[in-house]
Amino acid sequence: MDVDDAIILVIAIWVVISSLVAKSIDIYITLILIGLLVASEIGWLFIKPEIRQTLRLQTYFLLFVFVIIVARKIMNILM
Amino acid sequence: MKIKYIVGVILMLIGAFMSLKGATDSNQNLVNLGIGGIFLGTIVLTFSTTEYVKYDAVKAMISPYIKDTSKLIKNLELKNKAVIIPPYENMENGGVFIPLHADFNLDLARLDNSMLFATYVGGENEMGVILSAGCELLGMYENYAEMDFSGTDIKVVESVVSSVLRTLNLANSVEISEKDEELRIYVEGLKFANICNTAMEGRVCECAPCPLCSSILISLAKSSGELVAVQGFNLEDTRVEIISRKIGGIEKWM
Repeated sequence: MDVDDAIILVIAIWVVISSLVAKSIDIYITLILIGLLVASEIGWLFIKPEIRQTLRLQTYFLLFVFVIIVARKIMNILM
Repeated sequence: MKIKYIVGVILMLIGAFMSLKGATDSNQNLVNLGIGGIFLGTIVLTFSTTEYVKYDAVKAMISPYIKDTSKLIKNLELKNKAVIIPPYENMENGGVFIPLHADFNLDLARLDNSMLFATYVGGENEMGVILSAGCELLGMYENYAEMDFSGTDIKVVESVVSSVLRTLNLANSVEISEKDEELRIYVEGLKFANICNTAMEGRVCECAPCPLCSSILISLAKSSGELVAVQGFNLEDTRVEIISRKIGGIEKWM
């Protein structure tokens, strides 16, 4: 199995398990973000630099969603 | 690549359908799975850009290189072991110098990237052949690691080289040990070990290491900032041991 395939497989397993465990979209997206961050950190040296750029974009997008989730939670507490 | 592309698109479509279905049925697990499908689809599409050349193609391309190098060494009667030059002003990517004489001398100020035969030098003991095998791979290592190897710790080089060679399916792992000035490199699970066998019989490896071994040696030369003299090669099944020695920095050989 190629290293690329192993990374995809790990992320896939994480995503499926998270989807069954998470009770809300907020938690689910946070879990996906954690999985992506951990997988890309561990497999960093094995990933082609061009692919890393795209992975970074996906991470930034999920981080942006995470920031919105956190902001919403804060607003809920304050209101 | 095409299979990954198709799988990615299918995952995204199934994901979108499941999300919609989950939203209309108020089924949170289905919505989650749908989002997960879309996310996985994008991940698979991202990785679908990776392309590998088949092993047979690499073998077919490396074999003639080894044969030609072997002929070059025989015809020029080069019997001495290679010296790895780290990148410096004249040779930005470094190189492999095969000296004409065992008691060689080097004047790095007279050498440059355009040379193949170092003949316009100070004396006969400075003559030799300069090859650039492995320089491109060094660039690849640095590109993957997003760092310059100059002054880097040997263990960082080991980790990066090992990861990149594994990713490229060229070798399983690389171990480097350093004792005083001696460097021992162990390349495990070499994919084209049968070619190495042929090369080692003709003593090609010691005189002109292949691009893979050269790249590791140039990486080490760059990280230590010193020239590295090859001392020996050993092959056991798919495991190659490279014995080399650091012989001083650029200033010493100017």
